[in-house]
Amino acid sequence: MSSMKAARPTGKPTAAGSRGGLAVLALLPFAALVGLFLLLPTASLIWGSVHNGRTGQFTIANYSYLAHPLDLVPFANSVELSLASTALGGVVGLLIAQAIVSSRQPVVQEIATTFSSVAANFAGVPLAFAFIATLGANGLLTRVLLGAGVDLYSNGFKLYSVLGLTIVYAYWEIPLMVLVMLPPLQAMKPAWREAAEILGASRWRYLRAVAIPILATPVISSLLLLYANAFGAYATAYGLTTGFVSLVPIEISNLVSGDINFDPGQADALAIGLAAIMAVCIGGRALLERRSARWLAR
Amino acid sequence: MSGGSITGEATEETLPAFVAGAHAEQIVRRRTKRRVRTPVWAALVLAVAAVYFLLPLYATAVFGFSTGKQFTLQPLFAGLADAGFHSSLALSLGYSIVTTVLALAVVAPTAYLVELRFPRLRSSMEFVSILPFVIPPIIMAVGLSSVYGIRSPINLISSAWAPALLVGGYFVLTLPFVFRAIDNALRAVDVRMLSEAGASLGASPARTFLQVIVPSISLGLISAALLAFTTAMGEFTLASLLGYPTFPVYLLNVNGYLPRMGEALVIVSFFITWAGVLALAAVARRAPGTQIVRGGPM
Repeated sequence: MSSMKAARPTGKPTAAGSRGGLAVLALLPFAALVGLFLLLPTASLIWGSVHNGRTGQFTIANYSYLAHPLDLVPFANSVELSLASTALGGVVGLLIAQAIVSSRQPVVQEIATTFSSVAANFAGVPLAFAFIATLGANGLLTRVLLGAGVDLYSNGFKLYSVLGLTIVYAYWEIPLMVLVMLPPLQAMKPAWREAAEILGASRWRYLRAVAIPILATPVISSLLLLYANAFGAYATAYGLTTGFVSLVPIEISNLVSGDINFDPGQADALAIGLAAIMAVCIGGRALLERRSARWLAR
Repeated sequence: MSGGSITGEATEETLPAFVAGAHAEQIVRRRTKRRVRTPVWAALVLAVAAVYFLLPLYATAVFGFSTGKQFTLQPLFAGLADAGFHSSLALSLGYSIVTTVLALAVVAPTAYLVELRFPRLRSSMEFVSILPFVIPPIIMAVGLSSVYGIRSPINLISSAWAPALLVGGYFVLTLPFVFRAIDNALRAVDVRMLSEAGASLGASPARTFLQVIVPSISLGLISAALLAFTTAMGEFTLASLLGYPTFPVYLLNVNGYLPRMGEALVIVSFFITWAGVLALAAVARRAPGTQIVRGGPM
């Protein structure tokens, strides 16, 4: 015992002994990476958003877009696109998820789940080109419809418009909704429905009094995720439009990479605006998840 | 989950044809009780969904695997033989492997120490890990280029440290799901008990971690690795805005001048995604609750 005690100050600390200093050291790589590549850039954005990009003077002019209706067009377009793709993804995704659960075929469930995760992960440039081959001016579906007498493009449809982008974004929004809604839908016990029926409840009454209250939290939380994903998406929109559509992420990249309208200060301010919207969605989702986790733990 | 496998159902369907007499009644009773029938609406929904999700892939294949008139694999072979394809894929693979190794090597010990020694840091760790969802890649790209870009005094982009910048960015980008996968796995085992057992047998903390904790959270580590790897492989926004010629960036450029070859490579990229998801699904089968979708804006 005494030899161990004597060894402690100089030698390797024992497991039960004081190794607080060493353990703190082990946290350093994580802290350094997060500090250098997450916190520092974020702080720089916040600082840059209230300083003139050229002179370095303090200013709030970068945020002037908040007061000018014309400068809010990218936000309006992004909101429209995100709302539309969230609504489409939410409704269709919920329907498909319920269809998967109701199919009661394990094979169907397995294939549908796996394909959903492939589709949900198949975003960005490849997805953009898959849709150009489908619904582009010379796309397969466009030509088939033309042959059937429906001329999409002379009727004002463009893949590069908000409507076109909504259809493309749905390609990952729908499967994402399917994947996040499958667990709560599978947790709905048939016994609840049977109990409601025995007590004389109609189908609608069961939905209103049992299913909807239980599913409301996961549905809202999923919709927030879909909305945030659509709002923050850049790769798919850029792949489709190469920068010629007015969405917040695209405007931000134009402001930092363009030569003519290069304005890092304004890009920073737009980025803060985008981050604020993301924070509301992600924060709301985190709160709801905490609530439902507590509920499920019971 | 209800119902049996394919073979199970086939037996139920074919048996009555061969069995007569008293057995038949028994079997009919069993069939009516156990038979699972997919509702018509569910089958319809899944069929329509399959068309929507397969059509863009079909159109891509039709466009990429043809000369304009007839089927050919020539664009695919041209793409696979292209020097730009090789170098960009090698670059993406390199960044993905380094990011994956770094993420596991840093996040796993940190999450373990927080769980065991610094429970008070837990909420800040959770906060930091959700932050990259609030700061989507497009914002991160602006922040990173303002701190480490060509106009900054710390110009990493033009230095030999340029690869470190993208790896750092990818570390942050993958942090939410890497942390979540590892943290879930850690919470499923009794970290404290295992660590005390290791210590009482005379193992150093590092040895306990490597030989006791790591094997017991291996499925979580594999799933974290696959999520990090597939994310880095498909990442476009950071690479494009910071100027790294990775595979998705190359894919966008090549579509400008060799569209058929580009579309053929989109199919290749789809199969890369597919392989990643199948691997994740295999892990999920052994560890239920494994996340198989990233769920963040790209």
